[in-house]
Amino acid sequence: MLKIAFFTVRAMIKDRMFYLILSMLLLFILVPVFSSFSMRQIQEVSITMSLSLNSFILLFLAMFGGVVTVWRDIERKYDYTILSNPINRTNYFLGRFLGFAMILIAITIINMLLSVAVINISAGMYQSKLPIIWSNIAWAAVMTLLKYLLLMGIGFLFTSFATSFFIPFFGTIIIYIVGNASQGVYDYLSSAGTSGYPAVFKYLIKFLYYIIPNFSSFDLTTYAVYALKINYSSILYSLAYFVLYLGIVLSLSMVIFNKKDLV
Amino acid sequence: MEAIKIENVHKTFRSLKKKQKAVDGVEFCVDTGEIFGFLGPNGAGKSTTIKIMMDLIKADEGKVLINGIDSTDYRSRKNLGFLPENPSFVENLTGMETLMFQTSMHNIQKREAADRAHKLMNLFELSDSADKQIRKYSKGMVQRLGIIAAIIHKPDIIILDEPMSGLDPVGRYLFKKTIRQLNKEGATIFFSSHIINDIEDLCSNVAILNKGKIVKTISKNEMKYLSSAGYKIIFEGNAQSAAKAGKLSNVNGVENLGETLYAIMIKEAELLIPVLEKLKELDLKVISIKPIRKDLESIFIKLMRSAK
Amino acid sequence: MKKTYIVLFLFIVAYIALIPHFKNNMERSPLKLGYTPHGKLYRASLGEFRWITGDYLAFKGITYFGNKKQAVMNRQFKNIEYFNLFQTIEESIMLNPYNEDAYYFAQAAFTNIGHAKDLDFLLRYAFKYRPWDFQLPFFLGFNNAYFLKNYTKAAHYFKLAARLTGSSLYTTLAARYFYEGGETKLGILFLRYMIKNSRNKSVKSVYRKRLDALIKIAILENAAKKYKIKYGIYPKDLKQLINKNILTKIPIDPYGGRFYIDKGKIKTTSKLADYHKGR
Ligand SMILES: Nc1ncnc2c1ncn2[C@@H]1O[C@H](COP(=O)(O)OP(=O)(O)OP(=O)(O)O)[C@@H](O)[C@H]1O
Ligand SMILES: [Mg+2]
Repeated sequence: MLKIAFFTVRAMIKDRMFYLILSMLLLFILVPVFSSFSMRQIQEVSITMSLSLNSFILLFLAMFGGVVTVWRDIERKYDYTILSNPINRTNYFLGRFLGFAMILIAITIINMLLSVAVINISAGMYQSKLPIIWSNIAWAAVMTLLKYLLLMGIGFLFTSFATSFFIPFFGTIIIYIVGNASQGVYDYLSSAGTSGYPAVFKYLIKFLYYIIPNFSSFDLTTYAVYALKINYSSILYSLAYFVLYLGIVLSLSMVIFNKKDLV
Repeated sequence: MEAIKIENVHKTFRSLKKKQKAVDGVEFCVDTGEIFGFLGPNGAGKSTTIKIMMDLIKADEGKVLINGIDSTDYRSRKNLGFLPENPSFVENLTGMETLMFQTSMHNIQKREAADRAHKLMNLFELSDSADKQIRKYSKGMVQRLGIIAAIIHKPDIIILDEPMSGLDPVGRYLFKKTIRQLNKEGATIFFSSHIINDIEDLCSNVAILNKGKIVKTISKNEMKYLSSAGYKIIFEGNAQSAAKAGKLSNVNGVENLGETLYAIMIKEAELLIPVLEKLKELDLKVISIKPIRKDLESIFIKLMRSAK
Repeated sequence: MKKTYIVLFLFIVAYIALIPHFKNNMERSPLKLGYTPHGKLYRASLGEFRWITGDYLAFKGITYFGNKKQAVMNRQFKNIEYFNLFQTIEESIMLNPYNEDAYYFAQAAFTNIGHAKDLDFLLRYAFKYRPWDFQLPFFLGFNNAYFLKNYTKAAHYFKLAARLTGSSLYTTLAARYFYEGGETKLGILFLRYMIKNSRNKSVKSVYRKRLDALIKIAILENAAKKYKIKYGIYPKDLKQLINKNILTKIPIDPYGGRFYIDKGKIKTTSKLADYHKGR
């Protein structure tokens, strides 16, 4: 599995798409520039922007790196030459995932180093009333990483049964959007003001809420920006959720992929 | 011992609109140490069978044993080399990197692997492109790289799907030479083709496939029998003697090739010496003796017809 | 192969075991809104997605408010991210000033917490894009009269609203109550309008409670006026109203306070007055 993972990393760092995504790192330069446009929120804006940019880059990596690559493996029959080796499909698939996970981790670390730099620069321009709690920012980045690992896992799941490019690609994008909104919609529907909706509709939404990944639980941006106190039991729940959800997604992918005809 | 054993394999491709039975009860064995040909026209189901052997496609029914291990078990591929039809490799990597990855999957030491890769690249005239990205390779170059990747780890069993497609004459020559060499060193080789010459040159055994069914498996002895069809003797002499020669037993008439040149055909190889002696007695001057081999083409076509 | 099924099964079981706790945790999590970025460049970079982003932000804000309804009704304002909520709605309006929900909600949620000036700006901004909408000058008029005490401006906006509706119903009512009844009655009129026109149940219930309070204040104010007409002075204590048979009982403050009278003005210990005028 590790061999496949390293192979994945090696192939990825030679990919043009990867460089295109890496070039987004340059956008970090803009963080202090944009933050300075804000009047009294320079530090806050710089943290928000750094974290958002990190998310954005990870989103691209997960989609165009991870999901598109596994799909291409199957589409272009790269897997024929890879799977002719003494390796089972589980190892191959999980190795691919692990490889991209390593890339995502590495990029997160780079992003965080850049963030520390640009946040410090920005914070130096105007003294904010709020302290910068670096551990909060780190937690926010870790949770973002988990979120995109989960998203990539879902992309892999789609690839495991897809017969065309559209399913993994747009399927993942839809899950991304819905997963971001699910908690909001669920909250809205469970609030008292919505007794007018039909019960069936509510049950359907609740059912979906349990099935669709809940990405809101991985959003710690405000905690990082406003130096709020992080509730660590909450993080623990999110971690457990991540592990189990990813476990389900990947093992389900394996069940499907192991049966798939690689035509 | 059987290196590859295929037992009653069936495969139907299903799509929304229609069903396509690609493999229909294929059954054959490949013995250790032989070169086995898998012959059949386009769409016969050769590639599908091979993909099932490699567990890339799941059979509906039946099973494949490789060195006694079920092909759905990855360990069956431990000592196996495989070249798919129209192979493709991750395009960002160079040929060298690809080979290094391939060998690492077989736990070959880096130094040893690099050594072998260089040698084989040299042999297949890819050295210049070793460090080029595969996206810049031509079709034939990818095919050559695929062959190298299939043999670099010195497997016991080599399965090749149309190994010579896309190769130029030099490539074909190198391929055949390498295959013979590997076979001599003990490797079992299984390859598919729809070009009879290729198979005839190399194979000791041939399975002929049509419409997903094995039409016939021709053994080494059968092939010898089928291919050795007699001799064509060309000689010079007068018309009378020539006519007499045409009436010899086992000779069906004589053919005048112009002026004093005649030809006769004998059907069985063992009869060559007595016939030659007779010609000498008739005072006819033998100019050439050509062995006639029924090529697989005619066998193939005949078998196809009988199968219909 | 079988192993994968077992692993999948175990993960699903564990997930099902976790999810109720996870759900509860998410519901308990105090912070859900967060900071909404601002800025012209940000708006421009959204391109044609600014409209949907605006709509989304409005939805997000309204949903958040709906969840915090209990806190609003019990006046636990500390539990509400008013700053972020306002920023969210503000940005929503700036992105998509055509969205009626956004400014309607802004009017509903912020009139009482010291955002009157900002709100005035937002409503004027939306009015530029929705010049046909009488509701905007109506809100503007109300806010100017009720919070900003700028009566000339209020009159101007009421006039605009009247011109847009073609019917002068709201404006004449507003004007009459404003001059004759004072702010309590204007407030009641405004709340009735909001309740009638709101589809959002959270907004409605928040307003009903406030309306209830205002109606009770109005009853007390009336009684106090009657008392003054009879006795020439305002009562010192509301009990005097019962003693003189003007009222049968003192109404109960729905916010849990106690009404009292101070120099002729009806007030309550739940500080409804503060709540009206902002923090
Ligand atoms: N993925 C697929 N889906 C549906 N039908 C398929 C698929 N792959 C192959 N077939 C069908 O199965 C049959 C056998 O195909 P296969 O590729 O095995 O032939 P082949 O003998 O390798 O031919 P060729 O000499 O052209 O390579 C064909 O009729 C083909 O149309
Ligand atoms: Mg084929």
